Amino acid sequence: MKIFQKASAIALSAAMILTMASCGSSASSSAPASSSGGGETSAAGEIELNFPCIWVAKDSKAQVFGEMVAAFNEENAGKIKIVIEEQTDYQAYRDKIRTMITTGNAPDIFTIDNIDDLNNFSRSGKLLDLTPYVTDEWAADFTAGVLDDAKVDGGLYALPYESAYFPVMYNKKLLADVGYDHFPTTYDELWDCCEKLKANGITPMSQMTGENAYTTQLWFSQAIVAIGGKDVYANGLSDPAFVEAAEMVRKMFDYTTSDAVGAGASISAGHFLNERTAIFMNGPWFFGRVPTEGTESLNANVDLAFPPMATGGKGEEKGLTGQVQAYLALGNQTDPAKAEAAVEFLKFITDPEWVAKLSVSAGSLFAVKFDEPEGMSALQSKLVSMIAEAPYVAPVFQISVPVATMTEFPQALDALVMDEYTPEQFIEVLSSIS
Amino acid sequence: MKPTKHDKLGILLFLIPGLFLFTLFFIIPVIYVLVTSFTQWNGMTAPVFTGLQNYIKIFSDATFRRSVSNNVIWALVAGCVQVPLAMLMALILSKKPRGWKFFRTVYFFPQVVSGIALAMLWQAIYNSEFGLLNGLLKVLGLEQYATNWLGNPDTAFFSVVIYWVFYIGYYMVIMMSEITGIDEAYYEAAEIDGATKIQQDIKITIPLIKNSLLTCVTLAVVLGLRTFEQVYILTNGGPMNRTSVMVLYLYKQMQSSNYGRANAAAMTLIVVGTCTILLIRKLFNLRGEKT
Amino acid sequence: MEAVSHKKHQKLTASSLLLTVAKWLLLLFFAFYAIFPMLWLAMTSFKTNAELMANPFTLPEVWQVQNYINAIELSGIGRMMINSVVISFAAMLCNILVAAMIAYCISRFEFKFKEGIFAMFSAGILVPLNALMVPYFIIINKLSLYDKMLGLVLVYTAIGIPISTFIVRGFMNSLPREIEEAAYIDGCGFFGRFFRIILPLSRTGLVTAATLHFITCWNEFVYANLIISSSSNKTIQLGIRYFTNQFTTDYVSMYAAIVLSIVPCIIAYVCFQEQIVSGLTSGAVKG
Repeated sequence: MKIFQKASAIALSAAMILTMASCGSSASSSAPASSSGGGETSAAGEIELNFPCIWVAKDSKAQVFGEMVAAFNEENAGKIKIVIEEQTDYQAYRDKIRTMITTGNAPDIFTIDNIDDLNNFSRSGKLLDLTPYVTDEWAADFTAGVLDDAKVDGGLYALPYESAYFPVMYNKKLLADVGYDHFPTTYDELWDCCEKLKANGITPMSQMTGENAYTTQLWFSQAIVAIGGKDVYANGLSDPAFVEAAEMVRKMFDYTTSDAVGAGASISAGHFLNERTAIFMNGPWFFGRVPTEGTESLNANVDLAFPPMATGGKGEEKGLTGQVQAYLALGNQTDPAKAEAAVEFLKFITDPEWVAKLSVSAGSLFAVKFDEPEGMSALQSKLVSMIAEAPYVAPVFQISVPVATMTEFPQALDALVMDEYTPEQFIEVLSSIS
Repeated sequence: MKPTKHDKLGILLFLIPGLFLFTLFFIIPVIYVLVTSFTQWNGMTAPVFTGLQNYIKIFSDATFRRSVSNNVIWALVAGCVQVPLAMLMALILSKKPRGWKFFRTVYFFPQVVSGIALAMLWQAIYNSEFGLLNGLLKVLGLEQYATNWLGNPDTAFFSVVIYWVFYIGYYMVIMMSEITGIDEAYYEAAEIDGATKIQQDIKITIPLIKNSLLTCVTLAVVLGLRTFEQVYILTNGGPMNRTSVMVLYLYKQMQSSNYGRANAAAMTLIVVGTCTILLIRKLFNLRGEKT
Repeated sequence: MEAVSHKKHQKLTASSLLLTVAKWLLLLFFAFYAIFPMLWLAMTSFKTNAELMANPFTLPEVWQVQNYINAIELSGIGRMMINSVVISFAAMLCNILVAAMIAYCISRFEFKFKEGIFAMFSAGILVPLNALMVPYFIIINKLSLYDKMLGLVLVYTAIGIPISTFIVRGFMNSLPREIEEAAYIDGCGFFGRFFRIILPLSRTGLVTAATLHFITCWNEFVYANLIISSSSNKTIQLGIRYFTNQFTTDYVSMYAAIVLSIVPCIIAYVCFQEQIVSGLTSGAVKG
């Protein structure tokens, strides 16, 4: 017994030392950075910055982003060097960034994809506050209001970068076959259209509850805003619009494939790409897959539309939903020169000319303003003009609730569409998660 | 054997590397898990001590309770179905039927394919729109039984467990190598006594491979309790958390930045698992001489 | 004589015929069940993504060798394969040696804390490694092993110790005491008995544990991603993920990469397997 006590005391103190040491290291330096390249500053005084980055390999932004980094490194040869760490699996990337920050080893440069992490990371004290660096001139490059939206407790710890907008994608030909020469503008019309498609032997829409239930989450977001208006999230989930939107989502599952419960992104997208479903919703990065992975006739048949409006709803005509898809963040630095260098890099990659290039090549859109360049695909330029027409871009559900809620969302959704939960219960469950 | 002085020194020397690594990579991390399991902690700001709150929270969470019971079912199926099947095949193959080498090699193949690839294949097989299983039922005229296997709450967990049960290669190889080592003399004596092959297996072979059987059952149960990857890919715990397991639960808690709660789940797994291992040892000891 | 005629008699009965049929059905069922995933993977790795999504169970219209070219070009899979072989093999050897040493002590000797040590190691089998990212990252950083292959070897060696010890101990337990006692009387010391008697005799257990551990290391992803950052130090599992990104996955190229990653495993297994068989026949000491 005594020995046990002794042993546990030793082990406990060892654990304490370990934790304390980890906290200590956050103040002194970022260790992984130093070990990765054999020294932070080489003899010539070159500053090396590590950037675990997801825009590599098969990512649609990989090529131009790679050129951008190369151009920056060349321009700053001998002074600053960005070292890219290729990260491809997003979940694993998130795990790694979190672990690095928790242990006081925040990478020099990294990206964040959700508001919960943005809040938590910002409050950890391990991120660089960018407020003093962002001049009015630089801030003017960003679309109106995005920088303010990214602030946490008055500090700006991350710059919004890639943004996503979610129009409806639909198959013109399949809709035309049942007498629709346009996409339904109201939900009533949408249900009618779905009935007709179904009668014609076509499954109307792709939905999914597997993985993070992405496509269905987007539809849910559209319905929420269509009913409750763009400021619907102001009072948490108490607005009656959420229950009504849940009811609409429930109805959408009457018009989807038999595998929708449990289906992941590749299955729900696969149905649309193979013209097995007529209506789909996803981000602009999906456009590029239409010609390469769709059936031969699909490319000519796909068109974009504004999401439908709800009768009596507060949503405005042509209102869109969207979200910041990636924030750029910097780890706290003790060496001001390193901080300067990292900010230099952010300035470089948010340069409107480069962003325009990135946008064309990848089909993505950004929180940085740029003139519409040549070479955009038809779908992409249509979306750009739709955004210009839109009276507002409301946030999607996913970024308006805590990550814990989103973790449970697919499971609660299963219960909703299988009639285990009423729409009221569904919203109740989602709001009770802590 | 009672160690001599020389042996004692040897034992000490031999234990040092293992104990050092074990302390560094298990004891200290587990203490960290244990300590933080009594706190509310998002990984970023300082942890707040909350006593048993996390444990109360997870045990009052129906999803966690379901995860525990799913794991127990999984472990039972692995120990009571998968291992006996493996034993059966090991007994058959050790009689060296035609092509036994081929079969033995082939049975092991799935073990080298990562669980991810297997899970993706089975996701496609179980799919209700284009899956093989429903296609097969249709051919057999059993269309009324076709369903969305992984999405139907009544079939999902069953489907996730059952495909795994028939991948027996690893256990089979363990038991087969033990069987091949058994002295032929035992069987010769039994033949003279007029025992059939099946009687020989039951009376001679199985008792003699008790040790590998124990190893296999323990491994199967442990891997069943620790299972994560297949479920994560096949269903992500859905529908309605019906297929959730403990490690998936704790992973989701980590995703939601509830590190305290995730670690409480981890501690529960360690305790449940250790009890199970000890129980299995007891059971095997009760049934025979001491190991 | 009697036995032979008995056998013949058995073969003729209906029930033994039924048993034979059942036996062959089982053999073939399990063989099919095991081969099918390999065939499917191989077939799919030659399709296009569009074909895969249209129907996962059809043959490719045109066999896409391009997927393999992608797999080899994009991720530098050759380098990663070599890294994986080196890391997994090194970790396996270290792990088995350490585990065998512990198993030898706790299975062949009586000493204080023996049961305690064994119970502790058994509990270690159940530790969910996913929950240990934070402490492991701290340890690796403190040891200055971040982004070093050695760091991964260390982690892999360590994480398998409980399970390997458990397996090896099980096999060592079944060795008869008498051999050792005889050796002891012949003047064979602690180390001599370990290396010359116990290790060779528990070869089956060692190989069993080694195979499991090698496969575990080969397929490990979480810690490889956490500890390694430079491309030149990455392992094959990181390479396979090069075909996924935030929104989409190039499944067919990924399958091609998976097929490439399986091949060395199978070759290794087929070689190992012969090793087991010959080890058993040459080294077997009847108890």
